[in-house]
Amino acid sequence: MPTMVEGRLSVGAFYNPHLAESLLQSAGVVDHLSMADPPARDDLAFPCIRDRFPLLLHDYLGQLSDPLSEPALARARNLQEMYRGPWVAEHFQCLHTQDGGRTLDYVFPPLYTEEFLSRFVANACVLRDAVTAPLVMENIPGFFALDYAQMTEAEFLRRFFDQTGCSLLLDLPHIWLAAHYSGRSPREYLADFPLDKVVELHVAGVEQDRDLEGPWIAPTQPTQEILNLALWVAERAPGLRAITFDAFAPSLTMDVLLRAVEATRSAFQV
Amino acid sequence: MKQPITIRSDRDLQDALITYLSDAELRRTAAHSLPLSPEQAQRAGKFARFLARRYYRDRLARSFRYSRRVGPAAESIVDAPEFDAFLNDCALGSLAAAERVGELVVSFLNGSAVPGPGWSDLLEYERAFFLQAATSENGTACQVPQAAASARCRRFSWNLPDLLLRLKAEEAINDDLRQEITLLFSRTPHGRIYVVGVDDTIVAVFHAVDGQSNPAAIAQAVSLPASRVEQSLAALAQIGAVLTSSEK
Repeated sequence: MPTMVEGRLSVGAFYNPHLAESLLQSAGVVDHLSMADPPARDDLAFPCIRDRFPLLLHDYLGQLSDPLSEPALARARNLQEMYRGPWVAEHFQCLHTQDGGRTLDYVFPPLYTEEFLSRFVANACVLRDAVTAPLVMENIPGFFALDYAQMTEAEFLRRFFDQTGCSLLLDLPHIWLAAHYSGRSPREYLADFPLDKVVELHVAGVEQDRDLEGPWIAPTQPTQEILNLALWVAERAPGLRAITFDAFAPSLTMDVLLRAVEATRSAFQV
Repeated sequence: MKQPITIRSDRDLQDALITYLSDAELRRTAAHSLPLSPEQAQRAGKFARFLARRYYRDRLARSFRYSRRVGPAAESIVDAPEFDAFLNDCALGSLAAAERVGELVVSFLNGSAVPGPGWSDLLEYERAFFLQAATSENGTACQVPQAAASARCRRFSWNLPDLLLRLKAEEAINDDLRQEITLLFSRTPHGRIYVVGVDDTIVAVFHAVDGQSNPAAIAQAVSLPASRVEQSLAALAQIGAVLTSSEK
């Protein structure tokens, strides 16, 4: 099973099963693949994919605002055993109610409070120990805010990483959106983020959304502004090891995926 | 779905926020105690519509994946004007909302010329699958067996499992697939969806589960030995079609 090359920045994408054959032919362009879903039973290409690419576990393992059940931990452990990636990813999110009766079915941030910080710290440590691999956590943007937060997103993340020893998967379109909707520049927004904890970056594009009447994440090529932001972060992130084009959608074409990865490689001169 | 949330902690407040975002009626009537300014409430409303449109687009694309091979793409309904009206009063993930979207989409897909044999059965199959995929509400604990909210038992004139295989293989649908079959659609509380062929015993037991009869009464109603009814109920509970006291 291939592994990431030590000391070399890895530029990859998400595994989109409908693009499997094309991905297998993209040798030298796509370095690694992130796995958002387990391989389907009828995915005949997956064994070759696993033989060809280092894989990163980026599935929904559970929301770390709540304790993960034993079956959820076992599932995470099994997936990591299958992929054997250098780290496992989860998100700073809380999208379904405790009784499971309501779900937003989409990334949604927790309230940035002491109580949620304690919950995330405790549950992240349990998950990390269960998968016996380093845990990286991805930032999630908000579109609106309750008048309730006890700290900023940056403080929440910084204290979380200080207490757990986990690392940061910095999603740059998420940062761009959070900054946009709070009326700041992305670099201002990132001022207090623990960039020294970053091991992976996500890049992608944004598009206008009719319901939001503003931009939102899209499975499109990263803009030059996002790539410039990625370079700016990389200069401040000595532990950065991978950049992933964050697009996982049946509508994604290989052409878009390749152009996104090539644009990223070109920006980073790798 | 209308259980009031008692807020004792930040985690409870997050639940109240999730409920607010998922329930258009709650947002419209402002019947909540969230610390949300009018400006932020307006933004939350936009985000809620974004979430709902995205949710049903995704569930329709996943559920109506065979009909799109021969007919229109079901998920395009979410961009139609009538879907905007739905977004104004839907409760995301509720059975009522899933039924309403199922009705809208089947009506939409039936609006054009029938693309091939077995089309009506195919749409009913996918509608029943969609009810499982788009319903997140779970039943409450019960003393007697009760049917899960979205579970459906459907009798088809075409052999749907084989018909789907042919569509996937891009093979012709011929009359040799005209064969009656009864399928049970269900979803476990963990979200796993089952579509299984069932025999007359299971069908009878499933239909006799009314949320008021205990297993002995069900056995009497369907004229089957109690042990056989217990076995059937256990099998139905395993696939999430029936909630029993052990599911509490």
